[in-house]
Amino acid sequence: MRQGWRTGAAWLAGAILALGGQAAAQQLRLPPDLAYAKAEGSPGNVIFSHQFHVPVSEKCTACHVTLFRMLTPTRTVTHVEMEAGRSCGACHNDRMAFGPTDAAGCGRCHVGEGRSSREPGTGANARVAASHETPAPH
Amino acid sequence: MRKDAEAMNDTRWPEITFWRLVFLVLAATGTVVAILRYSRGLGATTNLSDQFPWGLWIGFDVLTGVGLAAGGFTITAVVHLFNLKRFTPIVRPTVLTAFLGYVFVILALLFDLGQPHRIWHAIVMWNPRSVMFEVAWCVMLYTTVLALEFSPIVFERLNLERPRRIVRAISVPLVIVGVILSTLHQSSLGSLYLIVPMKLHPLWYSPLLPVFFFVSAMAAGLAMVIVESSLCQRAFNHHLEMDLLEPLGRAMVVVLSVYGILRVQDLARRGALLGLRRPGYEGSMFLLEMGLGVLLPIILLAIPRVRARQPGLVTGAFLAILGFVMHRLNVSVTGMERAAGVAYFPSWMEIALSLALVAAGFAVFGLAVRYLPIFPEAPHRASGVEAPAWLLARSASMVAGGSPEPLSPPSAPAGVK
Amino acid sequence: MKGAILFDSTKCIGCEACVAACKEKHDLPAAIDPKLTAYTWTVVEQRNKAFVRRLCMHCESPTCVSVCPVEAFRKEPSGPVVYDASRCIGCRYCIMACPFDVPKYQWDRTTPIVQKCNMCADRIAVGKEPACAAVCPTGATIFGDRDQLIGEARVRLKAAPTTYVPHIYGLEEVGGTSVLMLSSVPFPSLGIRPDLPVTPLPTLTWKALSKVPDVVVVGGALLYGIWWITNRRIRVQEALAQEAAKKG
Repeated sequence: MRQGWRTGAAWLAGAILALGGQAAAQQLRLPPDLAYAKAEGSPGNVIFSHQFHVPVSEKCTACHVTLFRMLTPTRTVTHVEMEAGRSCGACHNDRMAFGPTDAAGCGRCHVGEGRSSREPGTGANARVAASHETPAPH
Repeated sequence: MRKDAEAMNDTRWPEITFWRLVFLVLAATGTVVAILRYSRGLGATTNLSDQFPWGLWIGFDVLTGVGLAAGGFTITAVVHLFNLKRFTPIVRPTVLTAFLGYVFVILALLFDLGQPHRIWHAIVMWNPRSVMFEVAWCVMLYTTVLALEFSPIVFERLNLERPRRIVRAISVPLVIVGVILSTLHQSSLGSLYLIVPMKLHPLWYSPLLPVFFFVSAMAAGLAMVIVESSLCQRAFNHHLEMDLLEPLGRAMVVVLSVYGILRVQDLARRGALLGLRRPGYEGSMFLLEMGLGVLLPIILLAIPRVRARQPGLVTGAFLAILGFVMHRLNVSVTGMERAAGVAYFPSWMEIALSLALVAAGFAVFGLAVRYLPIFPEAPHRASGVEAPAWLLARSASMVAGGSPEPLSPPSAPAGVK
Repeated sequence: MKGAILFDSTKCIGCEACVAACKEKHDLPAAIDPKLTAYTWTVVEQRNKAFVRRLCMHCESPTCVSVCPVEAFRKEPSGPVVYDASRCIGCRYCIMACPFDVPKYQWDRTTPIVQKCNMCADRIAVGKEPACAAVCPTGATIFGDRDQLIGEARVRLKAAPTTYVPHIYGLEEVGGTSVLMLSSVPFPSLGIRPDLPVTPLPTLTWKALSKVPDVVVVGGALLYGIWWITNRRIRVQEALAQEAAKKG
């Protein structure tokens, strides 16, 4: 409960200072924006931005490693999971952050290329590994 | 005839005396704790933690237990190597004490180790750079040596002449090996703590730790012989050989003095004595240990009039044992607390199991005295048919010295010699 | 290459990415303990407005390796100090002896094992860097060759002498460690032991242990000699007594 309140407050602060926050986050070595694999009938890839989300919390542990893994590529995320309060749904639940049925529409998250999931190959191509892994220096 | 019947009744329902009750309570609690320890783990039963990984079972059961069994190597060396044959009557009880001491140390280890079923790993997985490895091997080998040194007594009882003669033939090499192994691991128990110069309080940490452990164990071993003889006298009406024990008291004065001088000199050289001008927790414990457990017994035993009579001699020896136990606990607990940042006091279960092991040691000693020729000059009386429970309760009470009645063995049923 | 980790406290923002990555890498419970435990192998502590990581220091001459009676610990040539749970008998000497208080025990289990950071030895073996270094967003934790990292640390100290306290922690402590630390505040105020000797701790016990063969050989000869002399004296006395008896 306390954790939830803190995260919520941090998000508010993050939202207000979104631009400034992003500037601070830019100094960090963060994984590139990542596109989640597109499921059947999805209006478009979900693109997740660390740049945008990092100002939400001082701690990476707000999401890692309970909600998302860091080293192994992230899987797909389903709305079923979100409604159960897991994955993105841990925050995107209409209380801490806008939820899956937000009035602004699907486009708030599903912003990626290839809105038509029928196009051959798109789904597979969009499966970009979202990993913090960087190539070893040696 | 009626007497026989009474004896039979006695066999079935032993009289409940104070010491029997104490033993039964300790044994029962110990059994419960043992079950809890193995079913729920060390964390649930002990007050050990990552900050304090070694507690009472190491500090008392192992460090103290091994030290108190040191009489075994000193007395065998005195009799067999220095050929002071007049001490022969105390060899057997001393070797028995030592053997039991080591067996119970190994038992205690089986409770303390997190993976007791792997205790044999030390035999096949070697790390010769580890003090613990050396201690493990020495304890293992020396327990074997003690078993061999003790075996003639068993062979004698069973009338096995040949094996007895074989062991007798190798008795001198056995004693030599025993003394060397004892020297090594008695001192190595101190060496265990050489690796923590920044954790062990300067009042106890010293590069001379192995020497301190060795010398203090010699004194404690001698003191044990004296105290144990006195207990035997009370329990078995065994007469006290004051003419043998008084010289041991004299030897203790020498050994304790050497030990005390070494300790103080070492502290002075390292500048650790200055901290005692305003003694805190550690300082007070140190003063108690050295005053009560080293200085006082030296003074008592140095006075011929005090030493020559049983109460004085036994008091001096008892104080030396107390000082020895305090030293081991100060090294393993008091001296480590500040660096650990936590205070450690053993849980009731740790205490109960330690007490149960001590009680079991007493009981087995009593059994052995009853059925084996431990005191050869007094012919033993044995009959092998009593109920085990009776034996345990009986012998425990005997050894603990609380049995008021003189040792009167139940008469053997017909047909048994 | 001898792998090492350089932790620069001045760059650490306390985000705990390293903690999370460590949890993921080693399949540890997600809950983060405030101190090192068997289930949290690295933590980030905030002290005096600075962040400091706690993890195994991976000593060059490790105490744990030397004290373990069954050689459950091993120093890999590639840097990590690793632990083989299948050898461990649970004596906890490593926990008691470690100068950095790193090895931790599974006190909640019936047959516990010791746990600690292993510098992701399996990752290093396949050319990857440890998980904590891989995810650190600020470069506070970096992985590399120990000598090169020492060079890097010296460069940083030289470039910003006012920022740092002039000390590379782990360069010489207990004979050197494979985790090096830089800080802007004195190391004791980060809760890091300043009093460690430069000599590796195992030399302290080795001084005693190396005398074992001497004790065996010299002690054996001495004791045999004593027995020989005393025994012979008795024999001679016996023989003399017999002769006297014969004559008499």
